[in-house]
Amino acid sequence: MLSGWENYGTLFIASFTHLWIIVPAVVLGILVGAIPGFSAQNTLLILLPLTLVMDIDTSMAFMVSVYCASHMGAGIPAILINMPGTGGHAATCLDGFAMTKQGRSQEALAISAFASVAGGLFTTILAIAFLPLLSRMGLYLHSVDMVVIMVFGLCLIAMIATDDLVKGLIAGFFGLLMGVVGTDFIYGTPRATFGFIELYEGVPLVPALIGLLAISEAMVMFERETIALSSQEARQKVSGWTGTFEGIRQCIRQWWILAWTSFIGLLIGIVPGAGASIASFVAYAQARLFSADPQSFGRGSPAGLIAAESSNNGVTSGTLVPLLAIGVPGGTTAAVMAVVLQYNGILLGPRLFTDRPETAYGIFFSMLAAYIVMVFLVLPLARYVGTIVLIPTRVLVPLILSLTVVASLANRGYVFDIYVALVFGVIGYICRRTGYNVIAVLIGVLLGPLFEQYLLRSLRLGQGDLQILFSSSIGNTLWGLLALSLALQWWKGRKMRRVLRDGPAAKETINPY
Amino acid sequence: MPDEAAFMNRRGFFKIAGSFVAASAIGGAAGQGIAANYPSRTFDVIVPTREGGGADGLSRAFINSWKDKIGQNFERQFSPGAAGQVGYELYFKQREMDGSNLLFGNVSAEMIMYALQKPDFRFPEDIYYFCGIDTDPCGIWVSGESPFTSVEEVVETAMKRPVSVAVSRLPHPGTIGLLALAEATGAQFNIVPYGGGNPQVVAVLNGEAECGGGGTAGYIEGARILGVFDREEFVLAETRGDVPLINEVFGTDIPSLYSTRSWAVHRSWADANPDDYKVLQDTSAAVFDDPRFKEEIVQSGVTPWDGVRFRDQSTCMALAQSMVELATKYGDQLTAG
Repeated sequence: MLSGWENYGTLFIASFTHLWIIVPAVVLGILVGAIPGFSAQNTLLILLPLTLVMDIDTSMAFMVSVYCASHMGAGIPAILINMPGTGGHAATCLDGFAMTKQGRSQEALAISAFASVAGGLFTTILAIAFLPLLSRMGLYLHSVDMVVIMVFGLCLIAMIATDDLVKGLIAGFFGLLMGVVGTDFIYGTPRATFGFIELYEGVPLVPALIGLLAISEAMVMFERETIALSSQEARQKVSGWTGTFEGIRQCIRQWWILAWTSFIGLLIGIVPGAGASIASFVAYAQARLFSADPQSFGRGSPAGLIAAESSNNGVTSGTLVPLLAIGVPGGTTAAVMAVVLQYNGILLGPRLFTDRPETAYGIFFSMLAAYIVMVFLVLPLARYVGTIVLIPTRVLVPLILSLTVVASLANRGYVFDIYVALVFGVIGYICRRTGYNVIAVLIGVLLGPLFEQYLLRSLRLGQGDLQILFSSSIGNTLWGLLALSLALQWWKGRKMRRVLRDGPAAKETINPY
Repeated sequence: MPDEAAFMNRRGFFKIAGSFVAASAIGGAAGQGIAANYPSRTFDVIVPTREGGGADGLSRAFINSWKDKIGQNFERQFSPGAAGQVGYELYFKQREMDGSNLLFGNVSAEMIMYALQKPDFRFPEDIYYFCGIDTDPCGIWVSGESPFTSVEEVVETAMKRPVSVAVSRLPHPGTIGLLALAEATGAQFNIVPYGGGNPQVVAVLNGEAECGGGGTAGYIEGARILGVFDREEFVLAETRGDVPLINEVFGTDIPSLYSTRSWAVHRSWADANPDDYKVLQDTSAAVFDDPRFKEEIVQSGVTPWDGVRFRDQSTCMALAQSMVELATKYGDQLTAG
């Protein structure tokens, strides 16, 4: 184990000796993250022959930099064209794209960059300081506890569907129904696949997200001249650095949301298999719950965007904890890192911290260095990248549609996935035009399979007895917190309705999602 | 002049046409010569599991030696899903049967999938497993903090109440071992599939499940292997220590149950091209004598070296057949109906 600030300081300084590889890795990570459908995992697999021949510390510095930067890069298309490249960035679209439509793309990009960096830095420091404790926390969470965490995420359906609860719930259940497609988690029997082997693993997530959000949005965009509702106003907002500074100001002002939601990301990231999808929605729901202005969520709320982005980057630190502490990768990218570590003869697990503390902690210090590099590389870009909102939709929409084809295909390489994206695009468009909540469908598709997996596993452990769901003390505490959250939500809604009824200026009631 | 020119053109035309035909004939013959010189192109390999797992590391190490011996490179495509069914269906439905398309699968687990899900391909009519690489014996293991110290204690407890056992997936030889042990001793095992080795390990380490059932090759610090399903010996004794054989402990006659990753090819191509198939078999078998292969396996730790052993076509096919029979026998407990 590392002890003493001197050792930490030495490792921190040593991580900057890898700056020559961290800088290009960050640039690469942002690029692959910004191309929907590509991911850090795919990139690291392609570059595996290169990383295998590098010195292990350099190799890990390269991989964690690509990993962190790709998480940040994936926020860019989600904000600018409503196209999430991964499940973890679906929540980014909710307020990120709403801000873009208001001409605040520069501010949104600055928030994304700052919240990602700050969330990543905060959770990395936490991971370094409390690594042994955090690794045990991953082991404390059981399947029944994860069921409650999933319910936290699913409750967002009810939260965002307050304008038309019935339609919102129908949309949510439709999404859950879509999430059931594929082989079941216990016996591996195909369900509702209609003979398509491409559906055996379930509805492919990236094409479904791209269809529901990006393609349906592109169809709607045809009806406007530019993405921004007022191109004149947008032109003023993207010129100069005002948006960037406003984004940074918003993040600093709402520092506690940033810290709290990145911590949620860290905790969920520690649990193998959970990942950024659930973390970002749980974090978003939490930010909305404690917000003084929950009605602004989905309408371009900086707090909503901060929650989604900081939790995403909290997950990146979290997934590495079980990998190093018990030798179990917390996610697919961590699994690729495990290959490289093992190839270099590094034994993962508790002994890593006594045998090679410089490698174990060095990985997190490299992550720290990568985040610092990102501040200087990404923030200045917000001003220029944000001008995309001024491109006429007659040019932008065909570009977006072409990108959706590439993005759908890139993840698994199946042509079938392009059709999935198109089908979900039509579903999304119909939802938008008929007042059904697209995000509720999306949450169902995204979290439904995870919820089913943990629920069936818990019920199997309890041999069918529902009491198993209330058998864990952590789970019971979480159930209590969930009940409190829902009660708080109900109370705030009631208060808000009273204000709206009594006040002269009622807020806009159009469903923002 | 025009006539002469026309005449010359005709002659020219015939000359050129003649040359072209001759060149085509020579080229064709040469082409046939190349085709006969198997293999003529890069191998495309379908791996029916995810990147980053044991099959990934094992196939990479194997290919690094094999490509020099066979003179061609390999491109792998990972197609996980439905206990391997996605990869197999892709291999049989969308890949040409030309000897350049191979499959790298887990014989035991995927033949159980075959028996239970009845996919479109046929065993043994459509496939030859021709080079098994490793042996991952199935057994029962616990975390370092488990109160169980022996497999007898596990069974004794399971005879009084159900004992929860985490497995990576139900269609797995380890599950069959547990079902056979339960049948022979009257023990009750609550078998819970975790959808992968990593969540299974976490479930055992955090005490959510009392034991783990399945492969014993993957090293987990602090874990203890209590018994293995093998009729003869624990092949990993050198690296994992002495472990009792479950048959010896309980006087049962449960078959040896282990996972073996193996190369496979379309059977129709192999039967139609026996010489080319022999090239595949001979060069793959030669990899086991390559010190570089051993070095890479040992260095990467993807599996213990004492578990690496060559299994030829007949051994692999016999293992596959026995798995189909066992899966059929326990089919009701391994499927929803």
